[in-house]
Amino acid sequence: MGLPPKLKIGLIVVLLLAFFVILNLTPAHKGVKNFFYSISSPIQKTFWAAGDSFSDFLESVFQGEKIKEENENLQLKIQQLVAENTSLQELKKENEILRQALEIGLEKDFELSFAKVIGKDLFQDSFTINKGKEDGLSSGLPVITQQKILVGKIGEVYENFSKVILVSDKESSFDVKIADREISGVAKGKGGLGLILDLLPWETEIKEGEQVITSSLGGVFPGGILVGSIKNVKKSDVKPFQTAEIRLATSLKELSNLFIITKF
Amino acid sequence: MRKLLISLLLFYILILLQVSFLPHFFLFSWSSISNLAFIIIFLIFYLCFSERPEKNSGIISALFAGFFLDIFSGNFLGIDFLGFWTFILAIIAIFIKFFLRRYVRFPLAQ
Repeated sequence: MGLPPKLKIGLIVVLLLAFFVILNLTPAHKGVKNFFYSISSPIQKTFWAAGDSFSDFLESVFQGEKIKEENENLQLKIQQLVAENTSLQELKKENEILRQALEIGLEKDFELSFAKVIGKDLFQDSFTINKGKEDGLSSGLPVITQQKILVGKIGEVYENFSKVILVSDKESSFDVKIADREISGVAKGKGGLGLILDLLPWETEIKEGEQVITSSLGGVFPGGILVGSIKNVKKSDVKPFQTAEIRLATSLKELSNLFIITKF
Repeated sequence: MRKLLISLLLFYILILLQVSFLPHFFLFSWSSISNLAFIIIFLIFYLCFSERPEKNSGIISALFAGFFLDIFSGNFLGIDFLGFWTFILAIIAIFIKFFLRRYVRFPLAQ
């Protein structure tokens, strides 16, 4: 006595359809979903955490090579940037030096060429600079700092490099005078970065600390370039001239940028 | 009865895996319902074919599996209707049980 199977099936389908249609038309379907989400949430959290860590693990395994390559590229980029940064800092320093030289009007007084010190031989009182014959340098040209302080003169000149003979070199000798006074003398290098002032007239009163500048008399250097200041004046009754030591106005050991006066 | 409960639990776990575990893996999450619906359809086929003709656990499993899919899978092809998968799976199960199985014999069928 029951319904035929096909009818039974049809009835089930219709009932199901009616049930879900009604469920979807009312807010109850949200409640049903909410109920299942609530009871499933602890399991879902566990699955989620497991999936997260497992996928991270797989990612690290499969992407290890890629990460390594990326790391190498980044390292290379860092090195490039460091090199670029260093180069920019050098340029900045050079720019500051040139700016300083412009401020004291060096370019108005002389034609200048900028050079960098690339080697120092302080036992022989000489520097090597990065400018040479190709840059228009020739032997005998005066070398100064950006503060207009005398350093020496160009010695040997090569194609791209030159030797600077410092004022303290034993062979160095040039005319100088005491600043603001018409007292002339001859500055002579004594080696070891030392410089003495000789042939100062005996009768003149020389005080320590007075500034010594170049004189244009000998034609070796242009006049008015600061050399240093007087210290240890030696005056003897048996000598016709007095001598003094010159404290150089700049520390030759620390120089790294120079100007060569190409025309004066 | 035991087989029915196990299969319901299996569907429930599979669906939770689908929505919480597999989305982390690129290959396994093409869509919101993804390939799991097909696995479940396959299992429904298996259940319906493997049970005795007088048993109804295949149809009941299909109803619950469809219902779980509806609860957790969101809308499918733009259809947001609670009962969509229940209907689909129920119709598949009914079709196998009352029509296909009457005319087709598989070696796994008891």
